[in-house]
Amino acid sequence: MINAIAIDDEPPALRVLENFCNRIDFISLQKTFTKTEDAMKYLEKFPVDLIFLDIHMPAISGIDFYKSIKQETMVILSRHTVSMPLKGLISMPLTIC
Amino acid sequence: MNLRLGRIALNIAACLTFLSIPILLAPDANPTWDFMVHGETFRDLIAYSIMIIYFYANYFYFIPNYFLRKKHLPFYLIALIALVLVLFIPILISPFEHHHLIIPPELKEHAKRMEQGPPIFFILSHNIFLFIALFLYTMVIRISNQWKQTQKEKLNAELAFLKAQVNPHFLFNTLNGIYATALDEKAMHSANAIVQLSAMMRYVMTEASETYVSLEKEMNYITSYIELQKIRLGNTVKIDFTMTGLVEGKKIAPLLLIPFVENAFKHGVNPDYPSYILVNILIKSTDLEFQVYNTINKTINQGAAYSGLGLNNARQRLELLYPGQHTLKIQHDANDFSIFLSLHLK
Repeated sequence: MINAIAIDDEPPALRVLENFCNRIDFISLQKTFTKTEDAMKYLEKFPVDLIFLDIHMPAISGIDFYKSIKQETMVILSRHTVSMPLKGLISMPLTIC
Repeated sequence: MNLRLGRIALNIAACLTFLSIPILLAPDANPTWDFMVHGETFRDLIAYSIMIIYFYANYFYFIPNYFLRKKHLPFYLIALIALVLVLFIPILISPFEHHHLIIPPELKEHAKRMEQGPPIFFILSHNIFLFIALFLYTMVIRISNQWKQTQKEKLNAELAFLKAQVNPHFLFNTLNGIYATALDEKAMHSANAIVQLSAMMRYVMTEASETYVSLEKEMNYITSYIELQKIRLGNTVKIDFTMTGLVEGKKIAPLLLIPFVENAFKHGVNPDYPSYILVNILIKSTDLEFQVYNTINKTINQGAAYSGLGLNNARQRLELLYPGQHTLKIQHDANDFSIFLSLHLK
């Protein structure tokens, strides 16, 4: 079982993630965050295996957030705009293929 | 148009009034046209005419082309030349006459000074002042108009910017919100439709300004468009859509094919009659074959329906972007409409 959290400044994106994670039996999405500070505090207490992380957030970029946490975890970066064609990112909104 | 005519009339009236000043103020005003030969009045008339010509030239040409483009030296040089013309052309055309008077010998000394007349600067001074006044007047109205114009343009630009900036964000955020809600409610069809719509709009807004986009994206756009049309039209029309061949690694001009598909949906659907739309896309290495067929059904507003504007634009784009690289055939009769396009991709 993979324990995961998701961080995104847009609540609908989190709801979509939650919905998809519920369908996958080996991922347990523990909690979702719109506030990066709350996410940081949570991570200090409860380590996770995987973070779904939005790149563009108003307070801190997803990359800087990842650099600032101490523990080693897997991360899936996501973005909301098509105008930044980076490889290895998932595009929001998520869809089922 | 009426406003424009009124303005022209006003300008002509102002010019005539201005030109009548020397006549009305002529030293020996009389009702005949003798003043035309009276030196002073005639000279003034010429000077004023030149001033009017310079006034309009300054307003429409010299200020916008020199002063407002910071070419100050030529601008003031032209003004100076105009002033010289205003002062000396009248004298060249109609030189000062000499007054021949019988003068008693004891007044000869005094008369000599009189014969020289008042110093030339004194005669010309009123024209100089008038010229300066007119010059400043053109500057003031031109610059204030310019300022009003820039203010207006700035406002329009800001408005366009806001329209372009605010709406897409609001639109996409709202669509994402509705998508999440649809998923929460397990409304899978709604969710898919919303994602498709959102993807289409994103494509138009972000990719359509490029010269070429990946064929895959363009094909996705057409697929989404047809999927959404199926939702809209339900079973009122039978739609066959096939796409065969590999899309990867190929490029196409964005939104090139969609007008033909849109056209089929615009004119081919009428629930009262059996309607059929066929879209076939076949990709063979770097060649794309594209076929659209639709039945034509009698519609009430037939006139508006066949304006052909969208198709003409599509044809023009093909000629511009793929000259000699495409063939387009359009067959059109009373009941059927079909297009065949073969395109050599880049």
